[in-house]
Amino acid sequence: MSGARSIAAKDIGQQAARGERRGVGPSVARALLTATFVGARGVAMGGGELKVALVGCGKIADGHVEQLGKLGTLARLVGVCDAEPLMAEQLATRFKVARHYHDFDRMLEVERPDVVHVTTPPAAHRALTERAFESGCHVYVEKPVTPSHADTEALVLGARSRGLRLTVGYTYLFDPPARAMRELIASGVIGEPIHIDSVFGYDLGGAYGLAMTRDGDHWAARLPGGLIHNNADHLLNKIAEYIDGDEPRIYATGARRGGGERMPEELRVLICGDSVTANGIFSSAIRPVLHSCRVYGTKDTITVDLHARTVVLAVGQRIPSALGRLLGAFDQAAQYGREGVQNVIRFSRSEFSYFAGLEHLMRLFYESILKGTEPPIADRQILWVSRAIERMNEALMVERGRSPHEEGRRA
Amino acid sequence: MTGPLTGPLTAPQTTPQTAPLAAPPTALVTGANGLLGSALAARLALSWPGEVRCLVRSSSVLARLEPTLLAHPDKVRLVMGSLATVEACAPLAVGVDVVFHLAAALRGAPPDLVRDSVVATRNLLEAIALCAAPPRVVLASSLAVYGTSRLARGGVIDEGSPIEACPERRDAYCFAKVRQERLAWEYRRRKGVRLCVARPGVVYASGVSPLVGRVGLGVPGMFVVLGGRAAVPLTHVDNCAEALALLGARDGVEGRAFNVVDDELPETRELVQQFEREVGPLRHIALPYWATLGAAHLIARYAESSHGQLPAFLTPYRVAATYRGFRYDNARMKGLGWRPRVATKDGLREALASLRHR
Repeated sequence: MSGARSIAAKDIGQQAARGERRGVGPSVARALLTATFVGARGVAMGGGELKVALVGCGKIADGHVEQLGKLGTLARLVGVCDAEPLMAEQLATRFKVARHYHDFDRMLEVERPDVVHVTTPPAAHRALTERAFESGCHVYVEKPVTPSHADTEALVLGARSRGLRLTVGYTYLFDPPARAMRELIASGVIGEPIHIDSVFGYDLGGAYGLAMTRDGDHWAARLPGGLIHNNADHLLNKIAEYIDGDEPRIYATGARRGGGERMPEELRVLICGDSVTANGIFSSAIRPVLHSCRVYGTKDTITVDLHARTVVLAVGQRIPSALGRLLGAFDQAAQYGREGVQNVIRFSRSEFSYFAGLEHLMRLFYESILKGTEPPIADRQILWVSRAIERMNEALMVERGRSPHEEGRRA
Repeated sequence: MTGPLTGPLTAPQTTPQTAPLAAPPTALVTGANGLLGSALAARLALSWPGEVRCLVRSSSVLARLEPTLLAHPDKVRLVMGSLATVEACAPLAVGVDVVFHLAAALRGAPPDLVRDSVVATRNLLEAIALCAAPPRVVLASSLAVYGTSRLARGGVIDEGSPIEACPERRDAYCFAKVRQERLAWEYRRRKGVRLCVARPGVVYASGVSPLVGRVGLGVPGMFVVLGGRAAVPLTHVDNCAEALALLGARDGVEGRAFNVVDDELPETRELVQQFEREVGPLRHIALPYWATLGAAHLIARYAESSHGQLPAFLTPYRVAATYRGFRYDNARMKGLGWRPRVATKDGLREALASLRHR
């Protein structure tokens, strides 16, 4: 069973208590403690096919619909919706979805879905998610959950108070190497985590980057933290589980290559918990485009490359002198060789798609709904990431001589 | 290669020819900083009787359009704007006699192409339909809109050929262009938009490689030439710009579509040979049509069995529609007096020579 599942199975009371300890906020923690899952409207808790609807028919919606098609009898897509009818139509046509809508309420009324995937720009996430909750739907919302921590908190509490499940598109966290990393850490291989390095590279010339650079008024540019805000979840969600302490200190600095008034494209962030620290690097300039995580522990250090899909442990010198130093490279080569073979096996089983993490997360989320268990991403993790992003944005705004209030007005 | 295209154009139908004090017609070019848009702006700057407004995004780097703007400051006007909403389009259409609608995405994810090409076109046409004096619209569509998967090898594609019925089985560009054109015709039928459609082939120019998807696919370290003897429907950017300008000016073109493709089109393999002569060695492998079709069957089958682990970038349907080898008819465009003044062999020589120095 994956690390993701082990998180999902943890007791809600423990989660809430941990949430309070890690600075989620007392009120939220109390609410989490008192809330229980009461089961969703219309969902047979013993199993069955979930009716899924999707709102927001942009690029990422393609990924959701593709992965939904792989889930067999677990779920089926009953309708898609976009405020722009032509966008809803194109998604429905290309993926042969039975019905498409431009009125979200109408879709909820007609289709009566069990689950709604919210894949619109973040500014609309809160309103759409709350509307889905009102209709008794569980919600998978794309990252960032909302542009502000307060809105994210409201959604997390809203789900809990109604006994509904909310999950967020931390897809990379469910890619095979990230799951392997978490399993290894949970098994105690590296001992206690001491420090985490998280690197997230972004290609401005790629499919997602181009859409943003071509359009100066792109919705991502209007987020409080701009381009970085739209990707910070991927940078920080690998850290969230391991940082301890009530109030982690966050130091952030940003830069925009070539200068300019717009929000930065480069970020360096240092996060200090009580006994664990973390570095985050977001870069659109570093080549090759990297996506990696390294967790330093008291016994060993683990390095994960999410592009190459490798997980290797550091090599300590087990034999003294030059001979020991000689063996290190072979030890590393052997680990990478094993990873390569594993990847070939995964490829041959068709488990190597770009959206493998998305598929896995969706599967866990749906299973949690059907079985009445905890969702795959803990509320405290969602809230921790959301608050960290807000603090990071504040630090960047102060650095640029803007008050958060002023930046909020501008956004 | 002939000299610059500077022949005069007559005023469009919208301008009352007999009114002595009538203002000269105003043209709006959307996508004016693109390859074709900038060439059209340059053409109109020399020949259009009235003002030429060039619409670009505020984020555009005006590398292509700048020479025309600098050379014709009194006639060519830069308009920063967006087609993102009907409201944004409304002021753009006011006081305009002809809209040359070229703005479109050429590459990207399918939703982006639909947003940039289809939604933008709907916004513009909606704004135009609301105008008190709606301008003529010359839409730059594409030869890609034709449904050629069932057309026999050597078959002729003219303006009467059927439009692709299953664009979602082709590629994102075809999907967006078919929907865009269908939408435009709907606006003509329902709201009386004065529409004329140009369907250009592959537009090429100096500095732009003609080795596009219709010729083959680039894979790491190799170019795979597909389709063997299929003619490549090229049109030189200046020839295409002249055709569009003509459609903006001529009477009797509304409600009709026009293929814009040059004469003496090279076959795929000839184009690659010329590329090697003019530019230098190209590591490539040439697949004849039957082998391309066979490879497409394997790719599509694997994509399906692996649930899309590798995308079906080549399918039998796409191969049949693209690489089977057709002939392209440009007689209707020639009927308006248009001639491709840049001969294909000259245009290609110049375009490829410019690549040699890169």
